[in-house]
Amino acid sequence: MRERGLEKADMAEIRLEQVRKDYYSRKKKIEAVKGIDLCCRDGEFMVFLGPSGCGKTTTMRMIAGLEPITAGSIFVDGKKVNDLAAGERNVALAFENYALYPPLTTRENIAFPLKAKKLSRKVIESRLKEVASLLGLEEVLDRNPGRLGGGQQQMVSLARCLIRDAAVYLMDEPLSHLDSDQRFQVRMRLKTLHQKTRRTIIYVTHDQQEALALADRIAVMNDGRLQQLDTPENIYSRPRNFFVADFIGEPPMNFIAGSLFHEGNGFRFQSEDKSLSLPVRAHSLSLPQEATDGESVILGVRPEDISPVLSSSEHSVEVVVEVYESLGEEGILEVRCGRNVLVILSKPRLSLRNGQRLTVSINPHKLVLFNPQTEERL
Amino acid sequence: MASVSLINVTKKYGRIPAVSQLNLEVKATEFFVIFGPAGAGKTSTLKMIAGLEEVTEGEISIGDTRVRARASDEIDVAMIFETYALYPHFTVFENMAFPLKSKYRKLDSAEIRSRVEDVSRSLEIEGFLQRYPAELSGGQKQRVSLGRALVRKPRVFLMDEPLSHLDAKLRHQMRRELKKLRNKLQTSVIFVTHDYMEALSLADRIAVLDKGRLRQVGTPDEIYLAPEDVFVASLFGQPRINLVEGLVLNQNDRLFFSTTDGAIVFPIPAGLRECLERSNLEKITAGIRPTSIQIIREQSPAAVRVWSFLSEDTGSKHLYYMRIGETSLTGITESGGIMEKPEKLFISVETEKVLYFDHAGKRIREG
Repeated sequence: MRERGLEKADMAEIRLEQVRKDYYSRKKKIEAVKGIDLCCRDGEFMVFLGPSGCGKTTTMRMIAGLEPITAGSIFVDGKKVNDLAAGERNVALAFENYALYPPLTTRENIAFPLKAKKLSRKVIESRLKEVASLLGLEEVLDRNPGRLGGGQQQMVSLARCLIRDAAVYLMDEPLSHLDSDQRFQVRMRLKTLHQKTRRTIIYVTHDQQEALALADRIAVMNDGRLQQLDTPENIYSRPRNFFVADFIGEPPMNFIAGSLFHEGNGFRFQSEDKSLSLPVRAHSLSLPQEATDGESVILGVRPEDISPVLSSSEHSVEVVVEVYESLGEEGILEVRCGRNVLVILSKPRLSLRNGQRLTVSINPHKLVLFNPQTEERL
Repeated sequence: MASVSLINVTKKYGRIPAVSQLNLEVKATEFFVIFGPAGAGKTSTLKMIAGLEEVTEGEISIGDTRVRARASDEIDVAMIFETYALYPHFTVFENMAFPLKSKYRKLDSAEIRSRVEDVSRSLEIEGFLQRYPAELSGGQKQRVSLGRALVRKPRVFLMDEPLSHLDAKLRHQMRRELKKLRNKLQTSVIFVTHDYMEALSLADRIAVLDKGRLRQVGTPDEIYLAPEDVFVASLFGQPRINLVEGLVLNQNDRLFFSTTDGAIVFPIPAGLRECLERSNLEKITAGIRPTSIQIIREQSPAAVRVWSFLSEDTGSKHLYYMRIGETSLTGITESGGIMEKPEKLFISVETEKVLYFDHAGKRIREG
């Protein structure tokens, strides 16, 4: 037997081809996953992100072999695994609810998958030490899971997953029961471990911050369909559609309904209520190839791309302060512009009164436009 | 509206004190936030003010009335819990009128109608009075729930984590909604939360509790910029403030902070000198907020060379995790991009924003 620590063992590329999942509930068909194609490269940290009910957990469970696949194929390292049982797929799992063995101690719980494989005591001991120190579990190794808090139990479950030698590591909301400080800590350690070992990880979460922080690439899902598969940077700045733009980012992106008019070699955007008018030129993030005058669009702009300014320019608009929050390191400003509400990320401790008039400038490089019918980015 | 005062209030469950010797003075029409981690005694305090829990020792008064347990009708408080608890089969009007129909209030229907209409105008829900809760958005439900409490003209509003069951996005949005409404409430509000952003955003003043004891009372700016101790400093801000242990060095008659291994050295503001010398402090802890660390790409006189082993994208900002000698630091920048692999970088620290703490964790103040 190889004597190794947590470094990567097996090559693994996960490929999904037109994977579908239908459930039947009271004889009604529910399409949970509606044909997903994606490829998680060997060594990649991929995050499945979406709201509850989007099909992310179902997709992961199909990869794990815990759910039969209605249609399509799943390949692990080029080998079709549709008909392999969970135990034969060489995947390690960590769940939101911990599924720990109550009579065993933390140590025995974590070491269980290695004992089952009959690894030597020395190997088990050294890996156990490594994984326990990674997740801060050294102090509780001899306690039973019942005597641990929810957060710690979840760490034990994660440790039991990470200690294994597997082709792929599947994790479903593994940090959901931690408080925000612990979440920061464990997230950082998990990412550091991945950078060191380059294991293949598929990680399910509904928390967009977690997804942006951890992923090499994010698969954003909604309503059983893949919305976009891309790097965190592109998901954030070049969302493919309205759903992705709205789901990612806190505070969320501002959207303003309006129309486009030709102007020079670009366009002018005018909001429906005419209160807001901005030039849209080649340097914006989206520019339609062609548009008829008066074509309806939705303009999107992120809260950090709007800022209060002293003098007006062609990129500025006049607004009225609705509410201002000073939150320690940053400020959040909500303003009204005609019938539109804009949320702005600003500095903390500004002296702003409700009802105060203000000029704000909108970064022309960061404007995105969406087609209101298809909801796709132009 | 009424002031609320707690004098030496202690609450014990069995022999364990949940709240110890608490003194608070909430002014009339003040929005007062009780903040702390789980087990701080926040909800116990709120329940005692509401008369839902007996006070073991000490005294609570609302205005001139002393609070007695299980007599909450005498003290006229309204309590809002985690859920809005609207009656689904009642219209908005019926929901809001419900507390006024109590036979103890003896209000005629014209009075009830006029109170509901007044309150619904101020909360801007007058257009929805005939709708049912299921037809309302989350923000509208929150307004109805507040409205139902407001029609009673309570002297004090008590709110126990009213936003905590919402998902993150909605919670932030509702927090701003509540902030817009708070000026219209015209009554004292005591608001319990463990979310530091809610505390900073909404409060006139914040009381920070820990294990039943009061750590600090102050305005949001006082709490954030001038925390009493390490505990308070660590609770506000995400990621947490970096706490770096080190020594005070005197070089050419100027004071410097230095980590024990000498890897980071920066000047200590002259204003702290007197206090440091008076108390003869050698070992101190520097509290550096992640936002006070600037990532710079080139060497400069003030720059510190660090080993950044990880960076994270959080959308509008980037997080850097770094090591310098034996010290770990977290920094946050608005730009700079993401590192593909660990990298050597330079940072500079905004030294005027650094907080200093003594060995007991108390902040060292000027003068």
